[in-house]
Amino acid sequence: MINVWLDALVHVLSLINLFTIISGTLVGIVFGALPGLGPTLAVALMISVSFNMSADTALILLGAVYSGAIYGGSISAILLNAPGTPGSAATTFDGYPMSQNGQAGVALGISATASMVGGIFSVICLILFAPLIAQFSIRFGPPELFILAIFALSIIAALSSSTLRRGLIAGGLGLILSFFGQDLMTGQSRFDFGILSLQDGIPFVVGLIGMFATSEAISLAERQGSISQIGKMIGGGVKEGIRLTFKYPVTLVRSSIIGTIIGAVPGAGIAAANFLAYMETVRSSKNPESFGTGNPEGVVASEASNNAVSGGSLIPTLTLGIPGNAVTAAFLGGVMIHGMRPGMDLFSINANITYALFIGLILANIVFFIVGICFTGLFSKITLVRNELLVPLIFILSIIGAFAINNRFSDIVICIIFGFLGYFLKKYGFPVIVVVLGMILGPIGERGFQQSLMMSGGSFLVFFSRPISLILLILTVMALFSNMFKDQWNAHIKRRFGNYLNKKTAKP
Amino acid sequence: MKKDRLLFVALLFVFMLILLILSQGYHPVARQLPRLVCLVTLVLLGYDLLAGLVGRSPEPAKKSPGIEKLPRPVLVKRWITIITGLLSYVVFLPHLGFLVMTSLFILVLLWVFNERRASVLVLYTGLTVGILYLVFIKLFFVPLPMGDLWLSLL
Repeated sequence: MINVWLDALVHVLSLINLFTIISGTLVGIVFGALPGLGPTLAVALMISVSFNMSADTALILLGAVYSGAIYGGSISAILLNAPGTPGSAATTFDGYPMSQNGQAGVALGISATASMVGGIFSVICLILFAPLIAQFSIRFGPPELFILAIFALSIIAALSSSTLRRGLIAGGLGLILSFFGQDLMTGQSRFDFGILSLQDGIPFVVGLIGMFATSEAISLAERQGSISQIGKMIGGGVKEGIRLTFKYPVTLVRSSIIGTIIGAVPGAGIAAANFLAYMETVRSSKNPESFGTGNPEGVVASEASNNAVSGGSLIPTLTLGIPGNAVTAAFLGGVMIHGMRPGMDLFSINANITYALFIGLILANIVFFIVGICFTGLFSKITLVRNELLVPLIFILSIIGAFAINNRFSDIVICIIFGFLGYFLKKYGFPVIVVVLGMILGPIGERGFQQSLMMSGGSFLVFFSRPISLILLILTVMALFSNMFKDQWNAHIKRRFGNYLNKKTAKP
Repeated sequence: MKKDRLLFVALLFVFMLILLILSQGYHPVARQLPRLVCLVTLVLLGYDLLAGLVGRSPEPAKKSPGIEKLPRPVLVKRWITIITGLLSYVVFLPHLGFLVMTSLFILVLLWVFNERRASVLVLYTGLTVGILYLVFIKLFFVPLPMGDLWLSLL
């Protein structure tokens, strides 16, 4: 075991990988700091860049971009009151008032420090728990895999949409798109419409780039002017920010734990972790009324939790192949195009690559801390970039990315079609992440379904007679039914914390 | 917005229906799960369509107030440019190559987005194409098309 870790460490400390960590983190920070772009787009676009890299370098790049982008979201949240990512929304509650009070430097210092602590904490959890869950995943036979796919799709459909119905429609659409091309058992070509390139199916990474990146470029093209008009002083006080972060150790650890746990639950999402950690801090505080006016503890809670999601969300992604959110769906795409399969293989055959990723993630957290401390002033300028300059760049990167995967012109067409499909799905309230998840889980689920029926001679009882699949089935039903109580929960949250949310929305 | 949404859902419904009909001709094993998924999705789409028609379907969340949308004529102009630009890119990329098509695409888009400063147009286009060329072709050896027209001229 120690040999594998040492091997991984040697890999990570090579010049190319160190350069990848630094550049990946910087790219991530830039994408995260730009409201409207965010970590999903960053990781989706970097898949194409990573395509010709070695597997360890590629994963390190994606991990560094992911960590950097989540941290980057706090910069615009603090300086502009515009969270770069949904996961930094709660940072605006106290981060922006701190900027208004001339304490932007302190807030940025807190953000960098708390993000690093939360991020490293979650990676340690990933290192400790991922191999255990991966070992457990060996017990999953075809019926369990089928029900697991349905469970993951249902829970994410239930949690990521305004209505369960739209979430399920998106899941159905994703599944059916994954059935395009040859059937795994019979070899029969399905839904190819006589088009040769569709006989191989829709490459899901191409679809993913289209849905996340191209659709984002279309949305950005509809928006006016520059991302921001910042003119605020940023000031110093970064050291004070570092000191203040460690003044709240309980908040730091509690928020990191909340972020890691919520991150590990498929579909719960980074925004949920962010709000939950913030609200828990408000609830347990002796001065709850000070929150929303520039309380540093609020920034600590928000930032530690959102970066802790990154490690937590990789636990189900790498062990069970279930990406819990859009970023890890894109991340999983990167893992799979390098010929690796989630599960025990990642911790046995490809252990050196996986552990290199873990070490890379820890280093990425340290890098964004250093970068964040040193270049706070420079980052504020990132947010001045105009949408008009970003749109052509995102279009070109997504097109080239789609082409680079198989060197096929037809993939560019697929990417563009998926871009428009993703744009309209988002516009009309259908969660794009569920479509992508359906495309990822479709082949796994169908293989499990067909093999299960072969095992049982066509009897559907096979799904109910095995303990793990039965438990997963019950959880699926519970996930679907729990959605019915979502509205009541939302109403409760509004009643309980409405004043903080109102404060936030009332700000200019 | 509501009408547009209904039209989109109706289109999805028709698409699913076509797939369901197509799946009838497949081998029983190959069509089992696709048919099931098609049927469930069709039912949900039908319900969504009906709920939308009787006005009981919640509208998607409004965008945050900070995001300003463009006036309709400008939007239409941008949409037309994006669609024709992307179509032209796909059609002419094999013939004119990555360098020419990417430069043209960026220039046209920037121009339509009201960027008139020659220095920005030239610098931004040149730098973007240059960096992409270095990263993808020189660094990662991605065989981006160089254009058969230029190759035949050579």
